[in-house]
Amino acid sequence: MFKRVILESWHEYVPYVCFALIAGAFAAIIIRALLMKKSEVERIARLPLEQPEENERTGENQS
Amino acid sequence: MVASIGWGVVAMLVGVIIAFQLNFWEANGHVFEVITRFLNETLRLRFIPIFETDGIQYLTFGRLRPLHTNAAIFAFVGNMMFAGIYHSTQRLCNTRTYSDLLSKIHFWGWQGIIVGAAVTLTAGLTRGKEYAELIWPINIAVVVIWVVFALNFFLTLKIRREKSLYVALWFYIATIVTVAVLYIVNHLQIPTSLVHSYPIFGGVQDALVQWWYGHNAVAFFLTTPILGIMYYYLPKAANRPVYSYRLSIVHFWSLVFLYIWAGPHHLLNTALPKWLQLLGMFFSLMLWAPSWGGMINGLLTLRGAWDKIRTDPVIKFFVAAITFYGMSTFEGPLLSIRSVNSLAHYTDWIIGHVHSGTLGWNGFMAAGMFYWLAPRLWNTKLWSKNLANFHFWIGTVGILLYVASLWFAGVIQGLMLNETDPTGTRLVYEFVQTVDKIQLLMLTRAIGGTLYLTGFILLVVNIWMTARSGTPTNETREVYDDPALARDRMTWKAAFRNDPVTYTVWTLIFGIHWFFLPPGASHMALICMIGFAVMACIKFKQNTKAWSDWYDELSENYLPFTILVIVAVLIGGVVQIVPAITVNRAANVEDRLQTLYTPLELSGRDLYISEGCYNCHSQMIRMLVPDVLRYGDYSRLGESIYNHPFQWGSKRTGPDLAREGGARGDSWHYLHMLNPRSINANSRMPNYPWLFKKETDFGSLPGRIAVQQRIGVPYPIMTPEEIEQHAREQALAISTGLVDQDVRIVVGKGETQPKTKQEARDHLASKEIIALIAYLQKLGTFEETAETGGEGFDSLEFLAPQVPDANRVTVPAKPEPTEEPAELQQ
Amino acid sequence: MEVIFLTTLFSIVFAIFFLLLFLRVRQKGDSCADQDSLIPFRNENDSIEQTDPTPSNSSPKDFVPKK
Repeated sequence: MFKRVILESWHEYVPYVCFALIAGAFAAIIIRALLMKKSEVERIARLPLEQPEENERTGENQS
Repeated sequence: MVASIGWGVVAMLVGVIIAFQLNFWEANGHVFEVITRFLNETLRLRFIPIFETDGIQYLTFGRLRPLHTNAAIFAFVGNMMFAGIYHSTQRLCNTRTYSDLLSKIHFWGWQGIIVGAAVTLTAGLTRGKEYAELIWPINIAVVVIWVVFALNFFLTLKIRREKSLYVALWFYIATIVTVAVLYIVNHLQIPTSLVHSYPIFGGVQDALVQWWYGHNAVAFFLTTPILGIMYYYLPKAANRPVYSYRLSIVHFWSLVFLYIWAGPHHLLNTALPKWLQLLGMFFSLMLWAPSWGGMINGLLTLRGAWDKIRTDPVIKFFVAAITFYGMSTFEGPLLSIRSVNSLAHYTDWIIGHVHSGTLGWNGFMAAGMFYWLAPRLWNTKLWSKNLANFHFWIGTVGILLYVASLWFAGVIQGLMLNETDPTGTRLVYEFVQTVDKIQLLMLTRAIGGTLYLTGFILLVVNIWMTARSGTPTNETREVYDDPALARDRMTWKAAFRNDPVTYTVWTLIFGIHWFFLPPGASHMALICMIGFAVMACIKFKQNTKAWSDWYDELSENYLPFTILVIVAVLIGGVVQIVPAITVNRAANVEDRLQTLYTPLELSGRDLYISEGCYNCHSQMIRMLVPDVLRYGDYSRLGESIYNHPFQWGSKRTGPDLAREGGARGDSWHYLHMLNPRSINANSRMPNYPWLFKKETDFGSLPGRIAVQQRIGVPYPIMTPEEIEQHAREQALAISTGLVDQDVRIVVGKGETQPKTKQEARDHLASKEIIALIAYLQKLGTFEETAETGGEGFDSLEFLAPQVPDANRVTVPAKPEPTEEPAELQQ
Repeated sequence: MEVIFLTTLFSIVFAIFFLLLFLRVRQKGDSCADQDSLIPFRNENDSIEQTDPTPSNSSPKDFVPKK
C-alpha cells in the first residue's frame, strides 16, 4: 500500500505552508478581535446560542 | 495539587530540554561549554571560567528521557490524580477520608519516590524498561505507598454514607487494582546489587509483559483515573449531570476489559507470535468504541450549557481535553492496524500520538481541575480569568504545533525509510538523510512544547496569586448519617451467580476457545459463543428490570464490584501472557538461538542500558522488506530470548542495531562513541567521553552472571576468578587491536597519558568503552537450531493459531539482499 | 485496503450500536442508576461563583436536582 506513495522533494514544504496558513488565520482573527470596538464585542458575546422562538433574527450563531 | 503543579513544570521543562537535544546535540551538556566560551572569549568576560566538556553524562538524552516520562506520568499526572481522587471521593461518599495519617504517608512517600527517581535516573541507574525504569528499592517503595493509598481509598468506601458508588468511583477502583497488578508483574526481578537487577522475563516474554504493562500504564494511570475525574469535575463545573448513565456503565466495563489486550500493538510486525499481534490489533480497534463512549458522555454533558465555554476557562480546558482524548483514541486504534503500523512504528508519529494524549487530555484536564479547585480550596476567586484564557490558547497552539510537526515528521521519515527504487530491491535513502529532512520539524516541535510549558507557567502564577489572595479553607458539610444505610449488603452468591455475569463469562470462555482450538472444534466454539451472546441479549430484553436492579445493587457494594473489575482486567493478561511464558521458551525455539553474552559483553550490555541507548536505537528488524533491506535478515524470536531486559526498542531516532555485530570494525565504534560527528557530520547523537574514562566494573560480574543463571540463562558454571579473567582477557584483546590502529587515547583528570603501546593497551582495557564495543560487536550473533519445516506465516490459519507459533521458522523465498549488510546504506 | 475496510467496518458497527442504545431521549430516570448521575450535586455548598455568567438571551435550562 505504501509502496505507491513516493515522497517528492516538494512534499517537504507542505508542513511549513500549513503552519504558515494556520498562523496567518490565527493572527488575522486575533487582530480582528483586538481591533474590534468594545460595544461590538459585547454585542457578539450576547448572541444567543439557540434560535429564538419568534424567528425575528437571522443568521445567529448556533451551537 | 501543589505537588502536581510543581512536578508538572519540572516534567515539561525536561521535555523541552530533550526536545532541543534532538535538534542540537550540544544540548547534551556541551552547551555549557559553548555558552561559557562565548562569554569568556567573545565577550571577553574573563572572570567566567570555561566549562570544558563534551557532554555531561547526567544530562544526555538517554538519561533525561526516562526522567521526563516518569516525571510526567508519575509525578505530574500521579499527583494530580491523587488530588482529584481524594477531593472527589470524599464528596461522593459524603465522608472524610478514612485516615489522615495514611493520606500523609501516601503524599510524602510519593514525593520521596519522585525525588529518588530524579536522582537515580540521571545517574544512569535504571532497569531499562519504559515507564518502569526505576530501580528495585524504589519499586518496593512504590508498592508500599500504593498499598497505603489503596487501603485509604477502599476503607473510605467502606465507611461511606452514600449508598451507590458513583461512576467516577468505579474508575478509581479500576485504576487502583489494575495498576497494582500491572506494576507487580512487570517489576518481578532479581537484584544483583542495591541499585541493579535483572527482570525475570527475557526476550519475547519480556517484550510482551513490558507492553502489557506499558500500554495499560497509559490506560489505567493516564486514562481511567482522569475519566473518573472528568465524571466528577465536568458535571460540577457545568452544573449539569452526566449525559447518559447507561452509557457510562457500558463504556466502563468494555474499557477495563478491552484495554488490557491492546499491549501487543506496540510489537506489530516484530518477532512476537502473529496470533498475539492480531489479538492486540483487533482489541485495540474494538477499544475505539468505549473510549469514544467516554468522550461522548463528557461532551454531551454540556448539552444546554455550551454557553459556558465562552466565559469559563475551566469548561474550555475540559472540552478541549475531552476532544483531544477522542482524537488520540481514534488515532491509537488506527496506528494499531498492522499496515499503518508498518509505516508509523519507530517514527515520530507515535510520539505525536502520545503527546496529543498527554498534553491534550492529561495536561488540560489537570489545568481545568486546578483552576476549578484552587478558588474553592482558598475560598476566593480565581486571580485572573484572562490569564487562564491566555493559558488555554497558548497551550492549544503549542499542542497543535507539536503534534502536527510530529505527524509530518513521522510520515516523512516512515515514507523515506520504506522507499525502494522501482525494482523494489534497493533502498533510496540513508538513515541520516531522514534525520536531516525532519530537522526543522523537530525544531517546530520543540517550539510547540515551549509554548505549552509557557502556558503551564502562567497557570503556576495564576494559582499562586489565587492562593495568596485567599485563605486555605476546609469545606465543611452537614451530612445525614443514616445508621441503617443499606449498602454493602450483597452476598457473594448474588454478586457472582447471576444471569449477567454467567452469560458474559460463558461468552468469553467460548470466545477464547474459538481463538485457540484447532479448526472444527473452533467452529463449534464460535457457534456456542454466538449462541450465548444471542441468548444474553434475549434474556436482557426479557428481564431488563432484573438485570438493571442487579447492577444497581452491584454499584452499592464496593467489594464485589472490585472483584469483578479485577476478574475483567485479569482475563486479557492471562490469555496473552501465559502461553507466551509457557511456550515461547528457549528450549522450544526453532531456527535460531541467541549466543550467550560473554561476561565482558554482558557488562557492555548493562552499560548500553544504563546510558539509555535503547531510547533511540531499536534491536528488532521487522518482517518488512524495507527493514530487511536496510538492516539485514529479520529478527527471529530466539535471537533475543536471553536478553533480560529485552532490547527491541520502540523508537528509531538512530538506526536499528540488531545486526550491528561484525558490520564495522572496533575502531569505528571507538571513534563513533567519542564523537559521532567524526563519522557522520549530521549525526545528532551525543558524545560519550566519560565511557573512555570510567573503569569497567569487573568485580560485579560474578554476581550478575549468578543472577542470570537463576533467571534461566544457561551460563556454564564459572568461578568468579574465571569470569573476571575471561572478561579482562577479552578486553585486552580488543584494546590491543585498537591501540595497534593508533586510536587517540583519552585520559581523565589525574591520569597521565600512556607512553608506550603496552601501557596504552592496559590503560584502555579497563575502560567501559571496551565493554560496550564488545557488546555491540556481539549483536546479531546466533546459533542455528534444528529447523522444522513449517508453514509460511502468511497462511490464512491465523484464526486458529498453533502454539508453538509456526511463523518462527525461516520463511523460504524472500528477496535476498543483493549486497552484504556491511555495505548497505546505514 | 486493510485500513479502509477495518475503519469503515468498525465505524458502522459502533454507529449502529450507539444509535440503538443511547440516542433515545434521555431515560425517564426511574431506576437508581439514573438517579446516581445526581450524586455529585447532593449536599453541595460549593457554589462559589468564580465566573460571572455572561448575560445572554438564551435561557440555559438550569439544572435542579430532583430529590
